[in-house]
Amino acid sequence: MKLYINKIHVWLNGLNDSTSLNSWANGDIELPNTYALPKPAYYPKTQLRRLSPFSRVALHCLDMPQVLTASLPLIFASRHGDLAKTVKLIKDSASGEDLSPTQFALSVHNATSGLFGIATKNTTATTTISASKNTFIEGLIEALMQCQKNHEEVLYCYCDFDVPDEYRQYEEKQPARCIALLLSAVKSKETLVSIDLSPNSTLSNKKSVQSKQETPPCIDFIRHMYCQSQENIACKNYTLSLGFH
Amino acid sequence: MADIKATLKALIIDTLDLEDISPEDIIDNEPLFGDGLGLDSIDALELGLAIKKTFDVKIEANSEKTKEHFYSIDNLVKFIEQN
Repeated sequence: MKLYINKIHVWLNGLNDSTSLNSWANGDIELPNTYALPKPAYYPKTQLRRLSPFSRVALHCLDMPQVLTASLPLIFASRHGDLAKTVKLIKDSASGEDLSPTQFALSVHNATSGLFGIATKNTTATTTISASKNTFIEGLIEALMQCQKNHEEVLYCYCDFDVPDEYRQYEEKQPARCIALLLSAVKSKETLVSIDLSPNSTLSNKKSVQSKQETPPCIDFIRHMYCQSQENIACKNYTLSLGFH
Repeated sequence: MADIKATLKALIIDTLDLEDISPEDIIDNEPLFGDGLGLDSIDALELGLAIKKTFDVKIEANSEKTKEHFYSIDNLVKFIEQN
C-alpha cells in the first residue's frame, strides 16, 4: 500500500525547522532539553490562553500552507492525549475540589481536533485514534483508508508528550513530538515522500516483551524522514519504508 | 472595598490567563463579558468557581440575578460584600 506525503510539519521537543531536524536525524545534534511553546499564528489571540502545551504544539504543526482553508478531513492520533491535563483533573477530583470548567471541557481525546475545526471553520469529519504503542502507525493506516476511499487529500496529525511523573513506571522519558502530514493516495507533483506500508506476512504470535525503552515509532519515522533513510522502519505487524521524490 | 476590587481583578487575570491584560485595563463599571473585556460563557463558569473558592460566596447557576452580579467589577464587589 502506498501513501504520499505532500506537506509535512514536525515539532520535536522544540526542533521545528528542517535544518535542525536534519542535523538531529544525522546525529550531529541532540534534542534540546527545554523548549518554548509555539504560538499557532492563525489561532484567535484571545483564545490562545485556553490552549494547553499539548494543543498548542498540535495546532501549530497543523499550520501548513493552503491547509487551513482547505476544509480537509483530519485524522488525529495520540496514545496518551493531553495526559498532563487529565492527571490534574483526576487529582482535583480525588481531593474533592471542583473541577475547572475550561480544563474539563477541553479534556476529551478529540478536543484538539475540535479546536482546530473551530479555528479554521472546518466542518469536515475528524477521526481520533488511540491505539497503545502502535498509535502512530494505526493512525497512518486510518489516513490511508480514508485517502483511498474518497480519493482526496487528508490531514494526519500525531502528537504525544512525555508522560507525567505519575505514569513514569510505565514509560521512560520521551521527547514531546508532533508530526502533521498532508497525505494523498495518488502521487502528484506536490509529493515529497512516499510511504510504502505492508502488513507483515506472518503475524507474530509471540507476546512482545514489554520494554519501557523502545523508541516510539513516530520518532523513528521522523528520523528516517530527515536523514532520507530508505531502510525499513520497525513497527509491530507492519513493514514501513520511505521513498524520496 | 478597594481591597476586594484589587483581589478580584488579580483573580480574573490569573484564573483566565489573561496574559496581556493588567488590572488597570479592567474598568470598574464596564461589562466583563461580550463587548467590554470580551470574556465568554466558559470564562463565566471558570470565574464563578474561582470567586466561590476565594470569597466563599454561593452563586446560583440559573438566575437572572447572577447575570447582573457578573456584569462588571462594581457589581461583583457589591455582590461579594452583600454575601
